[in-house]
Amino acid sequence: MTISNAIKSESKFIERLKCQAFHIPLTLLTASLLLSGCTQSPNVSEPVPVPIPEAQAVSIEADRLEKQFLDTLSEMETGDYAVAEAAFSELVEDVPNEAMYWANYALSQYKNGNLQAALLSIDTSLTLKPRLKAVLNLKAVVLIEQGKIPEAEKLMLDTVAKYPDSPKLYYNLALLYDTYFQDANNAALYYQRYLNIVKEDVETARWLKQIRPN
Amino acid sequence: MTIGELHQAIKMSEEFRSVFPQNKFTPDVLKTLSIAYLNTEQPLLAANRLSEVAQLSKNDELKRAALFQAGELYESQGQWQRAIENYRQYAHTYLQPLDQYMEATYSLSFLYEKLENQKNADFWRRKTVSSGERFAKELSSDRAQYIVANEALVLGRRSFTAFKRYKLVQPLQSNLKNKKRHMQDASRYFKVAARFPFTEIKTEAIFQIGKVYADFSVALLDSERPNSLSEIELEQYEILLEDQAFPFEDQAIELYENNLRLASVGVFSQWTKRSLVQLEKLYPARYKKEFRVDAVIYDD
Repeated sequence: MTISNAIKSESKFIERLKCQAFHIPLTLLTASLLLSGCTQSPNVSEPVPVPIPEAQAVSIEADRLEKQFLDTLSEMETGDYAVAEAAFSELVEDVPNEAMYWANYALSQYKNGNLQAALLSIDTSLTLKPRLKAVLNLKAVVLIEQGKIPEAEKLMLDTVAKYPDSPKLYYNLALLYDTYFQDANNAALYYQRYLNIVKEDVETARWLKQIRPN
Repeated sequence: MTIGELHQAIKMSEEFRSVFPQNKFTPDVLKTLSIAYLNTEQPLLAANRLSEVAQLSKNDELKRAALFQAGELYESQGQWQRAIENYRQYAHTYLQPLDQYMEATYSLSFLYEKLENQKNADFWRRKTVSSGERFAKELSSDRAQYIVANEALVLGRRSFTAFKRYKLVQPLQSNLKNKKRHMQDASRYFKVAARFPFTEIKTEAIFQIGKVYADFSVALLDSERPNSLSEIELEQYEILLEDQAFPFEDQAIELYENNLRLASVGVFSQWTKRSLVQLEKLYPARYKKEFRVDAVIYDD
């Protein structure tokens, strides 16, 4: 899925933002606003802040985070990975229990070449939500970039065994066999599985014809 | 023995040495003196006495040990010329044990390099590599293997640099001859380096052989064409050149691919990545591809 598609189809996520993920921090935010009102001496010359109702504060904060998330994804799409990494860093600081933020933070770190940091973020994301296959795919790619080829192969094989409907994983596994193992049989096997799902990739289909063992 | 007693013993032994320089006990006295100087933290004096032991002793094992240790002590004190004298005598005299011979020749190339005497440094490098090749099975320690691999790599790089200096222009025959000679030297040394199991050296050596072949292929294709050829002859000449050049490119591809294959068993370095970069240029249909990742959302 491209970033544009991701942006278009994240309504479920927005719902989550509003319902679950930020309940505790925003309750604390609201409480701190109220408490700050208690600790300051009343000053007749300044306007007294009006406490925002909790539900409204949650909604405002969710909207802010949603906007920040979408803006950051757009920055990634335009290739501004440094800005995206900084923005995701703020997001995970604000909402440290959101696996998706950690996953995209990891992606921006990977794009910036910060591989070790990316792996840490990936592991945090997977601790929060272990079954994110896109994150497992990202982890395998980071491992490949680090030269940990056997480790990446094992992770990919384990993941495709659990999630046999993962075109990107099939593609990446095929490319791994093609590039580092020089293993045309396995490369062809996984390119084929990829093409069984993604039918319109002409270039890969053409390449498969070239390498398919007789 | 206290420090005071040690100094007293040194004084007496030095007197004995100067009064009876040819006495049969003098080598033993010198050996004792060198130990005493080491214990009183006077390494340069210890090295001097060890050097004398090496000249006077009739015991071959003692001579050998004294020469090497004197070399080490002079080196540690920055007395490079004197260190060279001791190591050089050692290396010319004792090929066995092989591991220690390698240490001596390695120190010699290192010290000559420090003195900016590249000719002598390379002389000892070649000695190291040729001995390493001749007695490969006797290289028992990792350290000795590392020395041979590293020296071979340095010589390979040196030959590669010389190879690059020759352009295939008129006089074509002599330039081609020189370029080929350096190509053969470079690939020979890199092949020695690649035999040993040190990831960084092995992968660099394989990469460099590939680069030598790839560069030679390009040099052939870019070589100066003879002026005297007609249009048809020139066309035929181009075809012949391609026939000569492409096998080198194929070999380069094969070598870079070897490096990638090593990664599949955990042997990976910056040279693996650089091999992949070269393959992306030489064989883009296969290698100019990216692993696919994208933004993560829960619906994925």
